[in-house]
Amino acid sequence: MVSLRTEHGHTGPGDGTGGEDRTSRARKARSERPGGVGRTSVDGADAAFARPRPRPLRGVVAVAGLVLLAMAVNALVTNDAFRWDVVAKYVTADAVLAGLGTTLLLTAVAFSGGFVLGIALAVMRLSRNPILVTLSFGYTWLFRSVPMLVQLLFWYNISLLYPKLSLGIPFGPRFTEFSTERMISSLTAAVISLVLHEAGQLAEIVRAGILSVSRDQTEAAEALGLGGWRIFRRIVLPQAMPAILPPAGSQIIGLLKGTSIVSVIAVQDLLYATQLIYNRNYLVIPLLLVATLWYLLLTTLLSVVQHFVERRYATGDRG
Amino acid sequence: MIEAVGVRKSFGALTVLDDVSLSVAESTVTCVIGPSGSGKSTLLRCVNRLERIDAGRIVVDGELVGHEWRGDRLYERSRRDVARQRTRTGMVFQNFRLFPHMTVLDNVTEAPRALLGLKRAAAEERARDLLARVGLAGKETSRPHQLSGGEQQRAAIARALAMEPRAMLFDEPTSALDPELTRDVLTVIRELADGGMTMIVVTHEMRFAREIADQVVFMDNGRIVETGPPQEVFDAPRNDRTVRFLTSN
Repeated sequence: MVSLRTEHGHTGPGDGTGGEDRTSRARKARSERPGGVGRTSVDGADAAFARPRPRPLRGVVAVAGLVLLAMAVNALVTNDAFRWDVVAKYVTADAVLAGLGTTLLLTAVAFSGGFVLGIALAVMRLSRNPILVTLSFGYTWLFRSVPMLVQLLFWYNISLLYPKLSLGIPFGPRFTEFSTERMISSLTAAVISLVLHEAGQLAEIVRAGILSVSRDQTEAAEALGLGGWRIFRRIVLPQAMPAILPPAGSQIIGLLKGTSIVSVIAVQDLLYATQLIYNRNYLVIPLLLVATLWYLLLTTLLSVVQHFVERRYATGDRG
Repeated sequence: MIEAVGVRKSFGALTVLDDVSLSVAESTVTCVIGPSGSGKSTLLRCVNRLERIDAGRIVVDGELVGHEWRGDRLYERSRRDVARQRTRTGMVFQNFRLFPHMTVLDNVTEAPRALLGLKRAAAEERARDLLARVGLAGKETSRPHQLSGGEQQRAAIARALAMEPRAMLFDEPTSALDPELTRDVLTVIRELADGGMTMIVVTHEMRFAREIADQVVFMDNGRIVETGPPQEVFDAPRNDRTVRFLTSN
């Protein structure tokens, strides 16, 4: 491999004039091609002196791309309506940073909660108990079928459905009662619906990951006498990770952006924080740009983290 | 030590074990030979309860495998109990089945740490001894995919031995290996036999079987066709089917 590449640097065997020789020879070969003559013998061919295939279109595409990029930059910089000065002023405003904190908190809680619940659902789905299988299937079906926004509104308005929550024996006496309206704030509603929604998505991802681990591995562990939980935790799950992480990474990036939906029930996340500001000063575009920049930064960071985590878990051999 | 009586097993309409009875005495080696699909591996897997049997019984070390009496009724054992029973028989698979995400050392210490209550240091010390015994000193921190097939299989043997089993079950341990690597694995198995380990070895290595076995079992079509000492089964087989199998080899 390495020696091949260094050979490439040379112009040919022997002295430096070989290069010219070769070029003229190639030109000659090309000009003779219509006649079908050229060199037809396999003798003297050596891949070490082959040249890359000419790709004339590549230059055209590059020029077109650069022109388009220049136009885009020009449109961004010269249009005053973007008000980059306003963007700069608000990008680190306290209210925006507080909103950013809420967005991060929602993402972290929804993802970790959803992941734990998702693992439980995946295990239930793959268990031998038909009741657990049905429960898990029903959950995933329901929460993957109903749009996130609808679920959010349901939880936000849960007090209309169940005004009171009580603690007690099912169908028996109650010990204490809570007012649902007071207990479920808009933030709580947001957390609940995000966690439940994510769990449905992640359950499928985890299930696919578990199924990607060969049954042989479980058997080998069983043959040693290891118990089910230990096998799952030490043998199956670590090997499922390479299959789980890429889609889970996409999921968390989607979730980070998806949290902006909570702005409809007035949770002060990153988007809602900027909306509150532009509702006062009418600088809609610059403030949306503030939100955009933060989302861009965060998703980029997550992508970088995802890249490294995936590399860490790539074990090479999966057999 | 290991006894199968009238064992029956079918997958759907396919009968894989048909009235199989076998007795393996303590500190002896039983080699099971026969054509592919004759039920050799299934028999081995039943001894370790990786498969349930449909009829008959299997007894290891005086204990019914997979079942227990409660009063005068026979019940399936709990999964926990089955797991405990499995620790008494070490199993080695054709395709090694090491845990690819763990080092060789961790492969060997995993079960003892979980089940024998050994601390990491103690478990690792024993694992190093075992790995040295199978000729893998110095490979402790390697990952399975960095080892040759023969080394992987020897690591798998060390992993099984780490639970201090009363018997070892080998399921075609060298079928995935080239002749050179096969030799090293067979050497390890031979040393175990010399050390008095009770073993059942499913194998296609006839010369090895002849050399190591106290008892050879020939299976065909889910049945045990012929059983006896190697001289008898190999040199003076009584059954036509055995003759045909041996001459085709």
